[in-house]
Amino acid sequence: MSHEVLFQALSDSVVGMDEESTRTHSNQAIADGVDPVAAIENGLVDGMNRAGTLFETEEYFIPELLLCSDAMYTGLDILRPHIRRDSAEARKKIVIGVVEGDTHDIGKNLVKIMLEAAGFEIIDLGRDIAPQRFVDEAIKSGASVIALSTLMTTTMDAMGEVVRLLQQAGVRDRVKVIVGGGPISSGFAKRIGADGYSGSAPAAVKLVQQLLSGVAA
Amino acid sequence: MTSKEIIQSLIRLEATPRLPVSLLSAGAWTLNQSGLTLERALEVGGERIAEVIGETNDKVGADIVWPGSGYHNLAIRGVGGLLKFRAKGTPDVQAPLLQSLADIPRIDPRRVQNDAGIHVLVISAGILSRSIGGHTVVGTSQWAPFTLGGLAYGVENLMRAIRKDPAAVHAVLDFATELCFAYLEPFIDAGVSLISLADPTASGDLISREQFVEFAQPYQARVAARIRARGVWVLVHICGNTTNRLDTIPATGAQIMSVDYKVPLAEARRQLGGRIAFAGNMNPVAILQKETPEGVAAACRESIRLSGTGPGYLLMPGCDIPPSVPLENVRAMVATAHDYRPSLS
Repeated sequence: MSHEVLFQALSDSVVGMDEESTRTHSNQAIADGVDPVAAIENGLVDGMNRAGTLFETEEYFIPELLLCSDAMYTGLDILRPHIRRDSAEARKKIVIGVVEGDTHDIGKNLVKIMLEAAGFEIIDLGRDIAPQRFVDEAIKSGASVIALSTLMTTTMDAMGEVVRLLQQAGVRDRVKVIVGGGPISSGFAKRIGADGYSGSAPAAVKLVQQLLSGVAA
Repeated sequence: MTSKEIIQSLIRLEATPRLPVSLLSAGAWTLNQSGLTLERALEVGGERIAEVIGETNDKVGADIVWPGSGYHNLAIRGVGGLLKFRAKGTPDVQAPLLQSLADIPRIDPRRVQNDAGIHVLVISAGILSRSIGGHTVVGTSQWAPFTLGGLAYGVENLMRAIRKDPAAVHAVLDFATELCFAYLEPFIDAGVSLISLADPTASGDLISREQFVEFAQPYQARVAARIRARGVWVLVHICGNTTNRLDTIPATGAQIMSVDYKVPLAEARRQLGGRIAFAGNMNPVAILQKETPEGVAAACRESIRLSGTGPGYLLMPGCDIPPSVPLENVRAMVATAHDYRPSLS
């Protein structure tokens, strides 16, 4: 099987929510000596991006996106251990979580999946996370971005608190802050001094890429 | 006409002397008017809760009050689940109740009727039904089975099972249907005249129309049938974009469909007008919380305009409102409805 055909099969397996096929083709890639980074980028990640587009066009919904991500992670679990250390570029880190007082995390989990597919290293703090913890983890890990999620209007204020704590710690210029969730808007993001807002998981990826490349979001 | 008569005419799709108007749920907001958190309110008891709701509505003048609103997740606690109350807002389910389908036969949904907190809320509903229920609609609310099932089983587990194990989803939803009605039954016995079934997990932002038709709508219908058999009205509320599934709502037996700000009201009129009543849909944060009273009034007039002509429309925010919405903004919404005359539009 040529590499192109294999990459297409990996991509189709992810879009097709087929863990078994993803497993088979990932193992095939290893057996054939295919560069695992290429297999991940051109196969698994390509498939997840296609799934993200299908989500934006309302052909795929949460059930489908979750199963696509399950297939992607099946492949990642097989391929990642074979990445040679010297060929592994340091991935930019993103600290993500649902803010204190809120436990709705589907949105956050989808953003995490898409950011991971886009090549970022994700430190997922989970849900109901105090503002200070986001800041402490970002400093400790050298993260480039803090991504904050909430579905509730009663917990939005915690996002502003994260920005304030970053300023207080003197590291605001080192960490981008992005926000998202049901009641959130770009107006709210501006008001609290965040760097950007995104309304969907695929849009969050574009936002992070723009912010880290220095392009105005 | 009293508020209750106006809502009755709304449901019959008959003309009313003025526009019907209400908040949706707004339990946390209402209790916050008297400085009570949802947790503290259960401690002070059903009488005080009823007092706060009554006093607040004396200032607001809405056609419907909603004792029990904000406490849906007590249904999970009532059958052994873990809940955490927050400093602000509604309590959270901490972990799925069902680790597997095998847990379902081990849980008796009717156990929910023994929960002390739910009992306090039922008392408040009973007091309000007796004191103001003759002229004002006393309602309550609970998650519809699809959302309640997601809380019980884990939302992501439910979402995955939609594709991988539909039979499991139906088993969870059968359980959630029983739990939903077991929670609501004491409120019906206490005299409420309207029940809101809230189904945010069934939104178009999360599942497809086909998935909604297979897994959410039929279970809304099952609960609605049992509620209506007791002579109580049913409202269905689904957050987010539900435009592509509005046409399926009349078949649930609901008499009012409450739509969020993402649904064009003209579309709600087109799909539901003449079939069932519809309600909506000012943005709870951008309008009710952030605007001035004049801004709220303008937004309400615009919603009224967009809702089209004819009976069957209830002015209501698109969803529950944050606890910090200014009282003046809620009063501005009600005043706009009370002052509205079709000939002036």
